[in-house]
Formats: sequence, C-alpha cells, structure tokens
Amino acid sequence: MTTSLKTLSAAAALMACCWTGAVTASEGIDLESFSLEELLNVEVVSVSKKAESAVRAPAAVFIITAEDIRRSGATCVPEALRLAPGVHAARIDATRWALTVRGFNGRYANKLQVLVDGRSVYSPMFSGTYWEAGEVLLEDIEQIEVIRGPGATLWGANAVNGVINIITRRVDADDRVAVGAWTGGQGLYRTRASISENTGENGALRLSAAGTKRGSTVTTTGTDSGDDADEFLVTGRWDQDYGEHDRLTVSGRMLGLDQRLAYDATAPTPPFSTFGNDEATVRIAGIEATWHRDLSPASGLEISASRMWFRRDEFLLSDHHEIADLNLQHNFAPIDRHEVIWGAGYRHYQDDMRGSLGYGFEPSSQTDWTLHAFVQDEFTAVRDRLELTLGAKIEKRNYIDTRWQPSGRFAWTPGDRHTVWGSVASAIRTPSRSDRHLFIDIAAIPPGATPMNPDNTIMLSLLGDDGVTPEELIAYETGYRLQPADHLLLDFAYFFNEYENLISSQAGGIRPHPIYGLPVMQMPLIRTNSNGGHTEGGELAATMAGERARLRLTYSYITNEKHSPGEDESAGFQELNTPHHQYSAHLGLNPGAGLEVDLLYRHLQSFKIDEVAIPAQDELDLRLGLMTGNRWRLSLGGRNLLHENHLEFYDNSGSPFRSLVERTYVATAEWRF
Amino acid sequence: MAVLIVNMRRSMNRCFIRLLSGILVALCSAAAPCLASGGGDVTIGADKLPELKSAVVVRILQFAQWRGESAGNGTEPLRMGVLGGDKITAALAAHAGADINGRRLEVTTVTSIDDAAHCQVLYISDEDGDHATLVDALDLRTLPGVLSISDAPRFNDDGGIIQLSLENGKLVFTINTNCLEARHLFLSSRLMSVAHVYDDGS
Repeated sequence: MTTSLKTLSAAAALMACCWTGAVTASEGIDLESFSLEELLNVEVVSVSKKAESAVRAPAAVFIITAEDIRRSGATCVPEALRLAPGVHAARIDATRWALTVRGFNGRYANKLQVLVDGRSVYSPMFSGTYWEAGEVLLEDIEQIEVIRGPGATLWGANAVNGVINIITRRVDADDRVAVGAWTGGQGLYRTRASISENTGENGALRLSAAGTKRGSTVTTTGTDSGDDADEFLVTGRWDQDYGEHDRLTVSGRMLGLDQRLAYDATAPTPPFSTFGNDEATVRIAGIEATWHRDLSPASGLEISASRMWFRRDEFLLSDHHEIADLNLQHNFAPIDRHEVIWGAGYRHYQDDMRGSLGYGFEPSSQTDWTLHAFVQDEFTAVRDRLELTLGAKIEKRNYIDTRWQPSGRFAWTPGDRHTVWGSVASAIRTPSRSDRHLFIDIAAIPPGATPMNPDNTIMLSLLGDDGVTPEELIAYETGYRLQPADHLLLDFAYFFNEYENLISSQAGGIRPHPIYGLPVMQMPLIRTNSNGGHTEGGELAATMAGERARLRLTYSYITNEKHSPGEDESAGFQELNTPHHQYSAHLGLNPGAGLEVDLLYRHLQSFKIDEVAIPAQDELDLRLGLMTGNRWRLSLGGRNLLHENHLEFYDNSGSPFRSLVERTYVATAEWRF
Repeated sequence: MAVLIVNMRRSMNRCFIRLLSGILVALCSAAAPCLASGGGDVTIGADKLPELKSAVVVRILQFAQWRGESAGNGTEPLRMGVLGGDKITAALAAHAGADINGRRLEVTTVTSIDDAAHCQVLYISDEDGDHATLVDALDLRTLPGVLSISDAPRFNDDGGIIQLSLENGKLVFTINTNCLEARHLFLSSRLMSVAHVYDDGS
C-alpha cells in the first residue's frame, strides 16, 4: 500500500468516526432548525412512484437517478452505468468504452439499444454506440432506465440483450443559471454553463454548453497511448405546455469531438504493418420535436420527429451519415382492465463512407429505410395481483424480410411487498452496414512465412456479406422482487438467452487479390450467420435506505455455451468478453450540514478477450461532496484507489496498444443562482 | 521522451493524490463541528412529508398577525385545531409549546365548527382524502379570525387561505389574499415573498 493510499485510508477512517457520531447523535433531519426558505427548498423524493413501477414491472429494470449519477462521481455516462447490475462497462482508453448488457462486449458491442428520450443514438454502421461521443450532458439527465433483456416490443429492433434509455430533465426555469467546472488527474478538465428562462406563461427554455478535455492514458508498456481528446457539446431544450392537455418539447444538440487514436495499418509490402497515431474528428448535429396530448386520464397520443447528421473522419475511414425518424405512439384503455399501447414509425438512413486502401465499404454510399409497428396489451387478470402483457412488433427493412418479434410477460403480486415475474420474448439484431458491406485488410502474412505463400503476400481480409440475415434471440426470464422491510428492497433476475444465426466470420478459400499490380493473395474472413449458442445467468440488486445512509449491493453472473462445438471451427463464435462474476457496493452517507460521502467498491472476475486474459479488478472510489445552501456544490473524489493502474479492456478490432486506467482524482464545483 | 512525460504525469498524479488526502483530512476536521447543525440542501423521503409540512406551517405562523378579538392580549396561547389525518396531527402536535411571537402554541384536534371557532389556526388535512366533506361541514367563509391551512387540492377555491402542495418535489404554498382582510388577518411581506398568490381568475 503506498503512502498516499495509507493517508487516504486514514482520512476515510477519520470521516467514518465523525459520521458515526453524527448519525447516532441525531435521529433524523432536524427540520425545526431550518428557515422557511430552507424548508421550501427541501426535496421530497417520491419513492412510491418510481419504486412501485420498478417493483411491479415484468422485466429486469434498474433505474439510475440523477442523484445516483451525481453521487457516483461519474464523469461520463458509461461510468454511471456501472451502477446497474448486468452491465459490463469497461474503459478501453481515455475516451472509448466497451459496454454491454448480459455479455458479448467489445468496442463494437452490438446487442444493446441505446436511446436518449426514446430516440436511438446507436450507429447503424456497426449496430453499436460511440460512447465517447456522448450526446447528452450528465447534468441534464433525469434518470437512466437500464432494461436487461429484450425490450423489442416497445423499443424496436436491436434491443437484444438490453435497452438503455437516457431521459433528460424537463426545463426548470427556477434553475436560472448554473456554472460548473471539473478538474482531475489524467488531464481531465471540464467547464459547463447552463441557462434557463421562461418563454411565455407555460414554456421554458434551457441552453447548455460544456467543453471537456481528457489527457491520454498510459499503455501496458509504460508509454503514452496518445489518445487524448477535446470535446464540446451544446444542447438546447424547450418545453411548452398548451393548455392542460398538450405538451411540446423541442430539443437539439451539436457535438464536436477531436480524439487522437492509435491505428494499425496493414500493407502488402514491408513493413506490412504500420503503427501510428492520428486524429479522429466527430461532428454531430441533431434536432427533434415531440408533441404529446392527453386524450383522457387513461389515454394519450405522442408524435415525434427527429433529424440527425453525423460525421466521423479519421485517417483510414470517414463515416458520414444522416438519419430521419418519425414515430407515433398511442395508449388507451379500450375496455376495463386492459391498457393498450400501439405505435408505428419510419426511419430513413443515408450514408457516404470514404475508405482507404484496404479499408472501406462496398458500396461506399447506401440508403436504407425501416418501417415498423407495434402493439402491446397489458391485461389486469386479477386486480392488484396478476397482470399479463402480450405484445408484438413487426418490422420491414429494405434489405431484410418482414420480421415479427412477439413477447409475453406476467407479473404476479401475491402481496404488496412481493412480485414474481416472468417473460418469453424474441428479438432480432438486424445486420449492420459493416456486417453487409465492410472490407478491411486486418493482417498481412509476408512471403515465405508459411508454406502456402512462398512467393506472395497473403492478405487476411474481413469482408461483409449482403446475404447475412438478422441474428435471432429467444429470451426466457424470470425474477422476484421483495420488500421485506420499509427500507430494504431485493431484486433477483434469472435469464436464459437462446441465440441463433449469430453473425461471425468464416474463412473462405485463398484467392488472387492483386493490389497495385502486386501478386497478393487474399484469405477472406466472410461475415456469415454461422453459429448459435446460449447464455445463462442472473443478477441481484439489494438496496437498503435510511435517512442518513443508503447501501446498494449488486451481483451479476453470466456463462455461455456455443451450439455444436467443433462442427465448424473456422467460424469464430462471438465471445462473451465479459467477466462471469462481478459485484459492487455503493455506500452513500448524508451526515448533515450538506455533506455527502460516497464509497463505491467493485469487483470484476478475470476474463478473456480473444484468449488474452484481463486480470481481475478490485477498485474503490471515494467521494466527498458539500452543498452550501442551494448555490454551491463542491465535491472531491478519488478514483481507482486500490491500485496504481489496471487494465479494463482493449480494442481487439485493431488498436495496437492496451491502455491502463490509472488511480486518479476528480474535483468539481458548481454554482447556481 | 514519451516515458519521461508519462513519469512526470505519474509524479503529478501522486502529488494530487497526496493533496486529495490532505484536503479530505482537513475537510473532515472542519466538518465535524458542523455536523450537529442543520441547514443545507436536503432530500427526504415521502414518508417524512408530514414533518416537513408541520415545520412549514409553524414557520408560516411566525409571519402571521391576528387582529381584533383573535389577537387577544398578545400573550395568550395560540390555538391550532387539526382536522383529520393522524400523521399530520402527530407531526403538528410535536410543535406544541413552540413560541410563536410570544404566544405558546397549543395543538388540538377538532371535530366540529364550534371547536374550530375557538382556534386561531385551523389545519385541515387531506390525508384521509375527504376534504370536501370537511370543508362543507366547516364552511370556511364563516370563520373570521381563523387562519385556515390545508394540503387539500382546490382549498383556495373553497375559501381556504393557505394551500400547501408539492411542485417538482418541493413544498410550496399558495395564499388566497382576497379573504385576509375579512378574516382580520395580516401576513408579512416576507411571507408573501416566498409564497404563490392565489388567482381566482376574476
């Protein structure tokens, strides 16, 4: 243990002594000592509304609130998502993340749907999310819903292993101006400003801007990774009520990200492989509008439209695409005990990919469209006791057949404090642009290196195939939630996911592949629906909450097995790339006087990425916050305190370096008036 | 060169960690005396709402003045009647004996209009959800010198003076200023500055 860590431990012990004394000295918050203004500023958390919906939901749902995010000390959304069970969020380098739910992790993890206010933000290029290009400010988030398992009926295709729905706050004109700054180790600097203003009698507008700078990380060999990044994000949101029944929300954002990346370029001539650093620039602009009308106390109608422009330019590839979405959703109660929700939508996607020698898309430009509709009926079979939910979604894309995704769920509540739920649901992941049209030379085998190529270079190339069909999943889930005491909630979930037609790469025959007249041969690895398998596991979340302390424990387990092993060894089964076991503990203390103390511990079992072992991780974060009145919020936190550095993940899709996550600190200050 | 830069940054990080440790210790030391005092931005569970409401009601009383017979001689006990709601009754009763501008607060339960007429403050709880019946029974418009407070919806519409409600998770109160003079009541400008003012649309 280093000297600094010992000092930190002593500090933590000292604080624990102080807080223990404070908590035992006073039973609850002393509201009598508050002024009227302070009393009116006390926030009443409506435990019942969120907790009740989460407790009775027939799915594995975990809610991360704005308070959870703030108190976790997270500096980006993936860090906040570590709070949820079943989520494996691993930092690849300074800005990039591998993040998944229930397995199959990677830089290009592709079985997770990610939405911001119901709008999909994942990239059709690889069916995954560029987590480094966060399109939402942490401070604007109301809550994050993490739904483990397929949510296909309501959320659409590609919600295979889970859905992450980020919900932003309505504009609160009382928060007129907020200014904040962060600084921390590893070259972290961030400034933020936000202003809210009433626009007429029932409207309010919020404009926010943030600039973030992240320094580069260190590689496993001790050198600089060269992966530093600068980001700016400007967002706006306007909420307007028209009468008692109509609401309009218009929001928009502009994001700019300049990140340095290490690359590994393959060539048919010596030195065959070239390492280097180059800058990737990302520019995103988007706008969306949502109109909601309450038709009656039990019914509502919502129409939303959005438009997004995306540009990512890097040394080897430029990805320019545009997406337009139009969605309609209607919920109503046609007869007693039935709540029906149905909807339909259209998505238009158009891209222009500009590649380089040995890396690109064929065709380089593509236009795709998707038409979908869904319906779900929630039937109260026994009032307050048994609810049955049946739903189905139909989807047609220009490049795949019409697909049905049905699901059935039940929630049995034998008592107010117990809920047993179960579900069977199907989901699909439609082939991404990469699965269909990518070509990339991933390695060159020099002449004479093998008996197969005494005179020629063999280029190992990954090739998309327009013939691949959607990956299919049937998920069986069950769960049990119980509240044995007022301040204790336990949530168990078990799942068995059966996958078919998983897309992986299968080796084809060696063939001539002349490049600039050179006699190069090619060994293609072609994308194909070559295998299936299953995953199985469970999650546990336990929350104990008192007036001055809250403890939340999570545990996740997953295992996998491929079907018919050995039948086709050349077809690589998609690997879990996720620890079999991980658990965490978050202790939050409110000793009073505006002080906040948070301790977050997490353990991840050792796991493998392409047979490379990632060591087990045990890490501790410590955060101390101070709120002075309603104006100032200060915090100071230590991150990854148990080790000087550790490896969480690496980019197995081509990055030549493995970056380490270091012990560091983050200090924040925020002022509101 | 890269190794040198990395080593320099590691040294800086170690310095920052030591600085962090020192600041944590200093903050702990500074925080300990503050732990006994209240204040600050606080979050409470919904189960603590009655305590919050009762604390706000007592603070409101500090900014109210009674005129005419209800003013008494300025030292007589200030009687608060509570109608309905076990939780709020218990929470308000915890403030019995409090000093309200030189008058000792008495908290009693009321069940009839006669009981209410002997009070200077009347709290009508919506806890049991039958406020309409209660309001009809009491006929608030016939209660001069009584500061009526309630957490019932539409309380201001029914002639009640102060209506408590939750907005965005925070407690707010709305004052019906139209009937203050008729009830021989005066509320200070400081109270009005943090209140919502009832608008009956007339």
